[in-house]
Amino acid sequence: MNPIFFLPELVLGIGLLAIVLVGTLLSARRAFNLVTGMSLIVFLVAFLAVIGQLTAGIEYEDTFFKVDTLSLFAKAIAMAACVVATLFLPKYFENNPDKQFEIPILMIFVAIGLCVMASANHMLMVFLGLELQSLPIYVLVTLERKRLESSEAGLKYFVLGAVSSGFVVYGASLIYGATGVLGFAEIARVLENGSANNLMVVGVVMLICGIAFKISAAPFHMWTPDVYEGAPTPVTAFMASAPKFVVVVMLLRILNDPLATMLPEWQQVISLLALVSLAVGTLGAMQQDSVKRFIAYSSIGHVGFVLIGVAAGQGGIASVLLYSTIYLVTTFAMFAVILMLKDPKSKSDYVTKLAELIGLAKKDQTIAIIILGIMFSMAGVPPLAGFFAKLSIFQAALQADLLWLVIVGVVFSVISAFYYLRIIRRMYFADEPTSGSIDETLLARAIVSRSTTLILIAAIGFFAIATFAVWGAVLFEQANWASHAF
Amino acid sequence: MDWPILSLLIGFPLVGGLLLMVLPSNEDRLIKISTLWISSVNLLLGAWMWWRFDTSNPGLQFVERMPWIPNTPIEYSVGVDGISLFFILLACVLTPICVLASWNSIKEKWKSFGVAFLLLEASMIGTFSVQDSILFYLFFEAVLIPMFMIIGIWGGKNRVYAAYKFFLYTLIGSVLMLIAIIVMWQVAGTTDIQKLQNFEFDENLQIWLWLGFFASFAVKTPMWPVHTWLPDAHVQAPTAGSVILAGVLLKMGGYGFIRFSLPMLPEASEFFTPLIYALSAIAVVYGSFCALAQDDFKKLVAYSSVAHMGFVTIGLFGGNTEAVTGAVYQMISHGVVSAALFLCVGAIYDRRHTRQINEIDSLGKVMPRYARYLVFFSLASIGLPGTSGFIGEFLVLIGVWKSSPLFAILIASGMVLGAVYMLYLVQRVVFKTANNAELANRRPITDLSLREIAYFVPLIWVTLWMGIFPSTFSKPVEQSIASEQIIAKQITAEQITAPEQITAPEQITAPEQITAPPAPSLQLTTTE
Repeated sequence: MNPIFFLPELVLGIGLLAIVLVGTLLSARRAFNLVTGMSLIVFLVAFLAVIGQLTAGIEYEDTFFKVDTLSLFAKAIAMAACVVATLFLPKYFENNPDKQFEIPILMIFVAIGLCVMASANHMLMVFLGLELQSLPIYVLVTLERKRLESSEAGLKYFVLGAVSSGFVVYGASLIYGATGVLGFAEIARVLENGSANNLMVVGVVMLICGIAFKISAAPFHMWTPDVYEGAPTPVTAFMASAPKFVVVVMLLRILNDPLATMLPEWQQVISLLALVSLAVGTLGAMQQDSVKRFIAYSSIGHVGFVLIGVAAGQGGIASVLLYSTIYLVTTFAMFAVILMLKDPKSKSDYVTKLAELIGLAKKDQTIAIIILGIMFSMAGVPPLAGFFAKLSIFQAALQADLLWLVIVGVVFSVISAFYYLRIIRRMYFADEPTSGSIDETLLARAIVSRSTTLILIAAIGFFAIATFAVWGAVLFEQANWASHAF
Repeated sequence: MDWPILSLLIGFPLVGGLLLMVLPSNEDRLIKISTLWISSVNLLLGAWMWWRFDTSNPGLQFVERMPWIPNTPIEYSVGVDGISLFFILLACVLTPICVLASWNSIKEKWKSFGVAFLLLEASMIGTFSVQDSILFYLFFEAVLIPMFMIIGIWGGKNRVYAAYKFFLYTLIGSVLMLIAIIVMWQVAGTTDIQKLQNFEFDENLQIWLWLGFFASFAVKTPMWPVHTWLPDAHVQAPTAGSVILAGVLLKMGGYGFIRFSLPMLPEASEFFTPLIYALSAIAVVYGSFCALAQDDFKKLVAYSSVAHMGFVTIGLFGGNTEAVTGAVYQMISHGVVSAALFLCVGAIYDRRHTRQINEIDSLGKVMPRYARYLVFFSLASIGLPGTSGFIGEFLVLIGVWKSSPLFAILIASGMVLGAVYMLYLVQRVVFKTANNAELANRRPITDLSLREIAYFVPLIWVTLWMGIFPSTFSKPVEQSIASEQIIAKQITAEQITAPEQITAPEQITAPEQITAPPAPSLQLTTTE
């Protein structure tokens, strides 16, 4: 067995052991910065390892593990996302009493779980990967032990997460009951020889439900707003990015590789999930006044779009990868901006209410214009990246004859434009004081505390979104390349 | 090698706008001058393009093609023909004028204003020059972002409502068009506008596709009954915003009908022609009566736009060269005249801070120069012979008369009503004079400044030029309309329903060719 196939996993594992050692030897205060720096390097090396595998054109398959274009693409994006998420840590934990050196270490655990999921070729690996990434995230969510919301969020996430893992295992065991095998290749072989029986269908539906929970697709989204709000902001940014992306990729692989012959069955389930997610996300976001709850609901809506692409089957893979990648970049830019907006009343707290954005354009033009770009992109207005994401999703869905789903998607994207515009209105139009409904003291209360790293991340994100029309062909090409894995 | 003139036209304001972002925001004067320079240079580029434009060639010119999105037929392709030429020029002319008009009236955030305007110019020129349907959608929609900001930041009291209404109305229409475009891409396997025009879509499908496009273009034009965003947007927008909105943005709807609905979906267009006729006639009559009832100067001009655009839509579906040429002519003319009227509104608003017609009077006495311009543009709007408005409306009337005398009479009543509301306006604003004692009590207002004259005079020249030498403008338009087979296909269909006209069998085969021998001249001889 050649170690080159497992290079990123090995890098992460060895790095993890070394960092734990360093962390325990130093005092907690000093350890944090050092450990963060080291894990940054580990993520970077892991990212380079994936890129190395990519350029070497490595392919590998055994019963449990598979390295193909799709998994390499997912790993590359996930590792890059981990690098960015690590960069968020220092600013937030500057003066935070809960500055534990275990934070970056837990993130490396998650990263290993992500690699396992991306390469899973067996139901057991699916479960192993899911648990490996979920358990550290439960801990990360509860980091700020003394904040009630944080503990509450952690507990909620843990309980519901455990139930969803149960769904996954139960679904996998039913599939085992129906086919007698757990490996993806074997399942595919069994399904090709005979049609799926009811047991199999139930198993698949349960599996999808368990996974839907992890990507917060409605109606399995209940935890999302609370957990997003309760978790420390960098953790929210982290869990909203890499894990979701990889779980989507895993879902793509399960549905299109072993279960490809069951397309008519799972397409209905996925379409329904997409429809409900779009409705819940869009209508839910409309009522929100908390920044993080708003992002949570908007992410549910975006998952709805992603699921439209998933429902399109084989032809939709590239569009899903494209959409998820663009959404990931947008989310990072958004969180980088949020981490720079401070609420002066409480020292450690970052801006929590959308109303605090009122008049931001007067205070800091750069930040306001970055948010403007993000909002128009999320609304899907060309020529920004979000438009191309939606375009490719709709195109894939129409190719798969899912016209009704496209119409639903289009309707909700118009409705969602309404509340993305509302944020722009608050920042730029400065008309709300007259409405009287908002506490006057909130007006432009957010103060901007810039940090070089964060402004750089936000600016790069903004630039990437704004000039997508120019460089986007590269991403289209890559996503298309990755989609031809099976 | 030829210069990529169209890419330059799109790219120059785009890059200029981005560069403007890095200038310090307190250097107002520097920013204003750079914005003016950038837009003026673009105007020169546009003029150069016109000079290089070969008027005897009805096909696309200055074509550029580049691969864009891999694994899809979508490519970056631009080109200009006789129809789009004048819309591009309109955008080039009106942008520097808007910059001048906003010189003092925009008081805060001039930097953002300049950036928004230059980006707006780039996307307007883009919309009229692209030859790929997805790219068209991209530019068509990209216009929304700067326009939303322009209305929302620098608008009047009710600006947020107006900005939202504008944005959401347009967006709802446009996404349906997006679906139609993607379906066309699926069915025909191409997104190239030229190739799509030659593709024969199934008739049932055509109906749905047509409705998808109609949703977008009808809102944008705007046609009755989805015109309601227009008065709000116009009244709330700053002067420059209204000028661009009336001058260029409204034309995107009509342009879309010419580029997409008519040539790509001829059977569906034929099928829906009665609907368009009815809606247009309502728009003309209803818009005119609404204009007559307004107390607000700007709203009056806005409703007159609804009425004038009714002429455009009925002409586009008129089914013969006169009507379509007239419609395009009317669009260009309306772009100049209504823009000038909004500038007039802006000039008076800057001085009196009101748009209520009953609060403005005696202008003939206090601002004689302004009064002359206002009267001139009012007459042009009515369609006085010798001005641009006459040619367009007259051609449309002739064309529509041929297909339906009843509707010709209906829309002709619009011309009469136009005279009524415009002259009534002029009477109240210019000629009704308060007595001297009262005038002495008012705060004195100055007549037009040199800066304002600088942008009114060119518009007067253009209006007269279009009115007296229409062939400069109508020739390229007519030729390209002919080569696009907008009418060729329609008439063929018409002749099938009206058997006594079938004389030349070539007409049925005519749609197959693109650039080759003009089917239109054939058409003309048979219809005359």
